[in-house]
Amino acid sequence: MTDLISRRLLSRRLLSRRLLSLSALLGVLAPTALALADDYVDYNPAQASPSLSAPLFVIIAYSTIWIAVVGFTLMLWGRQRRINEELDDAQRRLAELEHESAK
Amino acid sequence: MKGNTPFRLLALLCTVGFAIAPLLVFIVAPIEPMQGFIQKIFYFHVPCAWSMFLGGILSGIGGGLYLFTRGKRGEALTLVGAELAVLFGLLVMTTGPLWARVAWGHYWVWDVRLTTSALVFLTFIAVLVGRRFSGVAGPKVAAGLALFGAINVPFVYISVRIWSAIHPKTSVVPTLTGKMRLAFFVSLATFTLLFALIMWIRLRIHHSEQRLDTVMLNLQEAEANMEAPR
Repeated sequence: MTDLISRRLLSRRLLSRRLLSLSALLGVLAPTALALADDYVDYNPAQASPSLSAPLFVIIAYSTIWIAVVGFTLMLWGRQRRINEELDDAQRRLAELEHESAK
Repeated sequence: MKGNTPFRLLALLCTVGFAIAPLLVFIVAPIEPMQGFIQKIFYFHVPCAWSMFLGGILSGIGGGLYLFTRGKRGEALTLVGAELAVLFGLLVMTTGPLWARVAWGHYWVWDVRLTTSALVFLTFIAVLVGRRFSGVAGPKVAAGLALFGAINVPFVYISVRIWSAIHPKTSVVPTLTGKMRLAFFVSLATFTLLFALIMWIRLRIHHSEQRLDTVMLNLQEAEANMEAPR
């Protein structure tokens, strides 16, 4: 039983840590990396780049949205399923213990 | 969630929205003459920003509730709102620079709107980190930070009105033409539904986790009683 609780806490902690690490990494590094790539140059309208492939940038943007939303939803679905399984296990074990103690 | 009619209705509306919105954005709405095709990012970038603000404000409300009442609802709202603010913030921070690279020639400019948005995004990452790694004080730290983050949200919105900025002003939306306006508002409604749907699922998970914790404690107690000498 102690194993079950430890495993559950460990898996929850690991998942949260991974998610938090990923978010923090992306949150801090993404804007910084993008800014560094441009050497912090001030905006100059003359430098606008209409020659760049706009459809490619649009596709990347939309793909990112889809991947993030679908990925997050799948992660939530998996988490809910795992919790339900653990809850069923724990409730069954509790019922067994109560039954044993009633004897 | 089985047999939950409002949830199913929400999911259905969201699915329909995501089926219609891209058609309106890419086929019905005309290409903006000044910026060209890259302006299409606008139809999802702004709803993502709106969802980030919504998550931030709800997290702040939850934080305020928790600080004043110490209730579980406030704690749950702080956490879930912050997670959604980070999720949608990540999308804003990705789609925005992609749009900027083509429109402005740079992925990132230290413009007031961009900088304040990044600040709000980082604040809600701090809410999640603070909650996880501050031990028993986690919920209080998270609540305080969430309140601070939520207070910043209106400043992000009005920043382009107060200070001179490269970022388009808030007056852009009212000036949209008929088909562009339709595509924008359908996208906005779809993202708001998606936000509500994810929030619903996430709150249910939080509730299940709380229930599981209670059952586990009862189980530990029952095991201890069984093992104790009679």
